[in-house]
Amino acid sequence: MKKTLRILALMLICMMIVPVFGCAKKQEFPTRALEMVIPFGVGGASDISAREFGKYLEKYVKQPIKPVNKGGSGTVEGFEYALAQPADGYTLFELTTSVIMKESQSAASKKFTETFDPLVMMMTDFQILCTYKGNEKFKTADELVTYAKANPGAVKIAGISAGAADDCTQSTVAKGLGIKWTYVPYTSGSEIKAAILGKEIALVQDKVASILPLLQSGDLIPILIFADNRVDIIPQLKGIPCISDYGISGIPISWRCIAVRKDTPKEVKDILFKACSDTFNDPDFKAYKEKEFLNIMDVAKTPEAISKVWQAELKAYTQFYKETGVIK
Amino acid sequence: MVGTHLLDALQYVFDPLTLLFIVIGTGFGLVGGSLPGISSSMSVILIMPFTFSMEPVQAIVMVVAVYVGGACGGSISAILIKTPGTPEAIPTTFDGYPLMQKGQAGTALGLAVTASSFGSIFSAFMMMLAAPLFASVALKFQSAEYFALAVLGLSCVSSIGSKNQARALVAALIGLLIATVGIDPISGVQRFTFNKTFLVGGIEMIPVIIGCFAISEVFENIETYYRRDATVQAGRVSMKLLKFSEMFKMWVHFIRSAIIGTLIGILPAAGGTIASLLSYSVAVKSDKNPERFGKGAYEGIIASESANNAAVGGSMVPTLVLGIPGSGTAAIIMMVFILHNLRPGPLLMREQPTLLYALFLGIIIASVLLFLLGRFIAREFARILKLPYPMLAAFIIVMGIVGAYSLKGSYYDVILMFIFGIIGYLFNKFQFSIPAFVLAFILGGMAEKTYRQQLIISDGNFLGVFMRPISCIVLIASIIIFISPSFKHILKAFSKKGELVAK
Repeated sequence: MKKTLRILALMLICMMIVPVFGCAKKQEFPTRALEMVIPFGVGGASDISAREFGKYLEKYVKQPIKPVNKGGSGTVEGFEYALAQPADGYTLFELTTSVIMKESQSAASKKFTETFDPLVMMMTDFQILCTYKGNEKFKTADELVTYAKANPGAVKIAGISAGAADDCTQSTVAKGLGIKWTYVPYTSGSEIKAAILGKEIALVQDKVASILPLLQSGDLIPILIFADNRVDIIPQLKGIPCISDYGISGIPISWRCIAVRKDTPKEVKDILFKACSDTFNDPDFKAYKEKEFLNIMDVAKTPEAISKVWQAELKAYTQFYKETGVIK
Repeated sequence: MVGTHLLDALQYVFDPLTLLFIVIGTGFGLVGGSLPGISSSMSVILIMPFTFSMEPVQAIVMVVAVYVGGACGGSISAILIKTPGTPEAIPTTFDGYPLMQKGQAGTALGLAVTASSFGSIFSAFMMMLAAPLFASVALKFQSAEYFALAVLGLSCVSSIGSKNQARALVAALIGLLIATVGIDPISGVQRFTFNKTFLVGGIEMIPVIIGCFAISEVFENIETYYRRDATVQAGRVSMKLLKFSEMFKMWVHFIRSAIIGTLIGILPAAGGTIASLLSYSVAVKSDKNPERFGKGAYEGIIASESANNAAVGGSMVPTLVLGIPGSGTAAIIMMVFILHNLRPGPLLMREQPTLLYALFLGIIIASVLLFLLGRFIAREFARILKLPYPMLAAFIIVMGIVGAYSLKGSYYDVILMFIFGIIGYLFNKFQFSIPAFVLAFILGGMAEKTYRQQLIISDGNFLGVFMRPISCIVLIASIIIFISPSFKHILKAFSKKGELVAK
């Protein structure tokens, strides 16, 4: 009996040792599937772009990428989940500006920028300020400024949810233009489009790919581009001023990044970084982005540059929330 | 012009391969719809990768078939196990499950499929004949009108489900209170979150409805399990269609609900769920004997199912004409368009009119297929009813957990589901109306948000909602609907008094 037990114990020990030796053989990372934590529900734009990126990334890490949707509490649940995983590089975290926004409100148990390092900025997007066709009060940014200065607060502008990215962007822009408008929060981009086409509101900001069909049909008129440069390659936006023409900068732009825990071993991080930048330069992925106009504002290509963008936005949000009294 | 486009579309759609895709799509939608964890939108997401390599028309027709199937499939589980498979099927449980308890599950399923099929065919015709007109009507609906619609839906709590009006009202108020949890939609501050991050996003609809309907029913059945024969419905359930003459008697319900469904479906901020709830409310309100509802009225199933399927065609209208998706599922279908290099918007319809006709034919074929596939899937689904109750209960709870969890991958939603299961159980026990509670919970958020949007837009005019014609009419109608039951009581009381005095 004792003998059998001993043999069993020996076998158990052997079984435990074998994998250790397996690791010691210095097999190249990664040896199993990677998880991509998506802090959004299934089916939204951020979910789809993360899955799309993951599809191409598989080619370069030579392992499957498993998307894990953790959409609770406006990205906080997804962040906490990614944070709780071991720092072995097998957990990637997708993020958008919402995660930075939540950090400025100290919504999660730890600060994102202090616990995660950027790997890649997969794609960038920019927003355009538009008005409806036949608006008699203003048709250009200059006319808008003149009208809004004469009638403070009379112009209604729509955005998605209160106290979030749109709200912050618009308050920064209004301050820069020296005008006052009234922010009306809606829940979704489709509601906003219906509201401006129905002339309930006079101004709307939306992403270029989403609003382009209405610009092409002439139902909406672009006024101002919420980015640092003009975008003349899209015919409908030719000659439309951008915010830096009015001396405004530092507004949160739309981007989607992939990050990994800061304490991940350096060699693993390097492998991941290389795979991510290969994916970023993959011709098929580039074609996908071009179709959706997600490449025009691609600027931050190194981890340092991405960190800089994060820090700048963190500052913008912190200031915005201090002004609105959300944080002290 | 129209003729050639229609012929082109016929050619595309009646291609054997495309037809096969429609059959697969409808079946997939029906199965997905009948499982609580998989809503119509989730079904479309799941099938989307398979459409990448298809021709654009094939892909679009297939995902629309999934949508049609999904909108109908929710009724199967709603009727058989009191678990709305999709949120659109919530009102189907009100009358469908009582019918099943009476041993008329087959008839209930037959009605649901007929009404679904009718609703989607009706809306497909509306979509084809007058899409641009409807789209412009949709733009007349702004926050004031949305508020009026929400109030119209809420006004029926005074007569929905429960006999006890005071308790129904209390249930509705609790529903309104729960709708306020989370981030305030207008000012962005947190309300009733008690510093718990999982409450910041608000309470989701799916865990609440699975808890209130399915889980509470399981609790109740467990309580009475030893006292009754739970295998009473163990017989074979097969879909039974009513005779045409019997159906025809209820034509008003079919058509009215299909109209409501189409119209609500068109509105970008309201989808199939609000369509079926509103349609059910109107059906109850316009009936001479509103007490019949909630106890197994055929008309209740028709109102719900005809409307939620009509919302399918309706929601495609603004998607195609304006590029504004009319529902969450339509938004995902729009993604399929985009992946095939078709960007819905005002120009698409002018450049590719064949698409509209192909879509129209797709909806009609899928609607007809509902009869064939629905019969088969319902029969297979009903097999689980033969299980001894403890196993069936475990099965329902597991399905509920998967359904609540799969929404966001959040464990808290599962806990919430059980909490609402207990709340639902207590509500049933003390005769607080669950339908009134769920109705208020779903419409409450919409009413609050749209009223406050309207307040900002009208520069703080509290009566702004009465200044616009459509919202004014709907609001006045709602007020009349709301007070009519109590008014009848008062009138009765008065006439009795009069009689007494005369004696």
